[in-house]
Amino acid sequence: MTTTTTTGGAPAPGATAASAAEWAKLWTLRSTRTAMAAAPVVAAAAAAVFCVTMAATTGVGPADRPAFDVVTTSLLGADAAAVVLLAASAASAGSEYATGMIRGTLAATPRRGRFLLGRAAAVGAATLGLGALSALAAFATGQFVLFSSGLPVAAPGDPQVVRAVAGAALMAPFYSLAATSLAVVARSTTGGVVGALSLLALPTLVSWGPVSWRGVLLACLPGEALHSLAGLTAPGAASPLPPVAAGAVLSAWTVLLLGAAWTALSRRDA
Amino acid sequence: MIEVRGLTKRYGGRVVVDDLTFTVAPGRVTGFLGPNGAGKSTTMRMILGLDAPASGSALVNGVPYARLTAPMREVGALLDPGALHPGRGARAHLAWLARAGGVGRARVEEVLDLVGLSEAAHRRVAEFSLGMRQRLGIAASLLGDPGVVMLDEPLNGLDPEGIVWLRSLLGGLAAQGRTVFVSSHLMNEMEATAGHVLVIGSGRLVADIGVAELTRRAAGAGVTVVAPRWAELLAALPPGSARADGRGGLTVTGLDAAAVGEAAARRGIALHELTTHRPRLEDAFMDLTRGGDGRRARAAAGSAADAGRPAAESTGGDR
Repeated sequence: MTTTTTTGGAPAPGATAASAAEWAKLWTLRSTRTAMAAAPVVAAAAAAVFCVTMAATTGVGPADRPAFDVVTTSLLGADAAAVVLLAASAASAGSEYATGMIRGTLAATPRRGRFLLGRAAAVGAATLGLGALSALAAFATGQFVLFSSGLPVAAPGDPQVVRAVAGAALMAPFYSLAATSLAVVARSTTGGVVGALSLLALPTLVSWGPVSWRGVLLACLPGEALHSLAGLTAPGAASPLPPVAAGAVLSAWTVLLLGAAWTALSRRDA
Repeated sequence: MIEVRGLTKRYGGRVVVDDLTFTVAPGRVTGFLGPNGAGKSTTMRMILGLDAPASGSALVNGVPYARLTAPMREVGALLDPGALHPGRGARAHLAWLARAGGVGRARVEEVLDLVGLSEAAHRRVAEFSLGMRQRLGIAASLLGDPGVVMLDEPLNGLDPEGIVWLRSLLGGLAAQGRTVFVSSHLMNEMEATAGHVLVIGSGRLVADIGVAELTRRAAGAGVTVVAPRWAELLAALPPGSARADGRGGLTVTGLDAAAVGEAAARRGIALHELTTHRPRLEDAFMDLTRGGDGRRARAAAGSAADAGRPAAESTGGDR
């Protein structure tokens, strides 16, 4: 057909078009926007609760601990933010199945891999940014608790602190990509949320298991890899992975989960 | 141009689309008719590469849909007007689609204007009536200014004004040389919209025929006469052209109302009623798919072929 008018001559849409479309989808829905904006707030609130209740829950107050303990405790706020962001990511993918919009999506971008990578890029970029904001908010809240108690604060330029904050920032994008993939596999929001939360909770379950294989199993789970990257593994508790190995574990999980989503998209009727 | 060859789809052991072969030619509106559950939507999903066929193929402009480099600029489709997120605004919905399809942003306003939704474009789709969602879906299908437009039941939910509007829109698109493929279970609405129809029943092609031809061939065309002296009139008409309907009247085929009236007048037979019975597409359709079982449908398809218009050959001929 030669009836094209305003669209004539434009380049064929590729990977950039797919990720731009997925990015636009994320930000044009009020519920997703609200959840995304709430993440740093949740991080700060959770950090405040953990730091203020530290003395009551662990028996050792901030005054009797090294300043870095308060940093790691406050960064649990980033975990809370990651849960919010993974739920928003799962809902964004799951709602496509709930409404049937996935058919419009795949008609616009018939190459399943291109759509999936576009969505992964959009979700990954958004949750990396918000994960970083959340980690910073949680860290700042912890420091504020120290400061307001008249205790010495951590040096923000300390490499150990920088590594901890940066590592905590990675939780949100990793679990959000997992939630996206699992929502596609399960074709539902619930599947994505439950799957990603299970992945998040697995290290705790494994640590109750027999000592003999616990270390090996833990080392293969994304939770330990994230902690190792952040330098947050308590010395002696489990063997911390070297950063390269931790990065490899996280990459392998990401590839595995996205691969499962790609297989589901390719094999099944939309 | 849409070419479907031997397309078959099974769900479990049930065959929903059974060896469909047809071509949808450009330059005219082709209606895709059949009762609910006949396999129309499944066929359209397979054309778009959303559902994988058990066997057979569907080509759009000569290639499988998934291999089109800019699919939205070649094919515009509306499958389900409800299949979008209710929380997103109409303009925002079209905006992400435009990005995915490699379509300029200016085109979003053009299609909103075309379907009459410019005023409502900022509103969330949740607030839209079914008719407005149909219009939004039609806008989405036209975003890429495609040469092939495929709409599944676009008349559903449209008010009478909307139906007239859509009819003229589709006619205009076809007149521009585009391929327009529109499904419906409302036979009589299609009669006024389509120039050519594909009829399916139970997943099988029952007819591939021009609308005029289909109604002409349908059973029931003719004249009904009510007259107390019907037996005298029967004798006066050419042998075989009329039969008694058992209720004090005659059913006449092959003669028009004027000829029957003149014949009655010549013999001084009083007529109480003289009605031309023009079959509608719906009647023709019922003839073809009555009962919905495969054997009847096959027999009907066979008779269509006997009549000199084999299903697969009749396309492209009467543009």
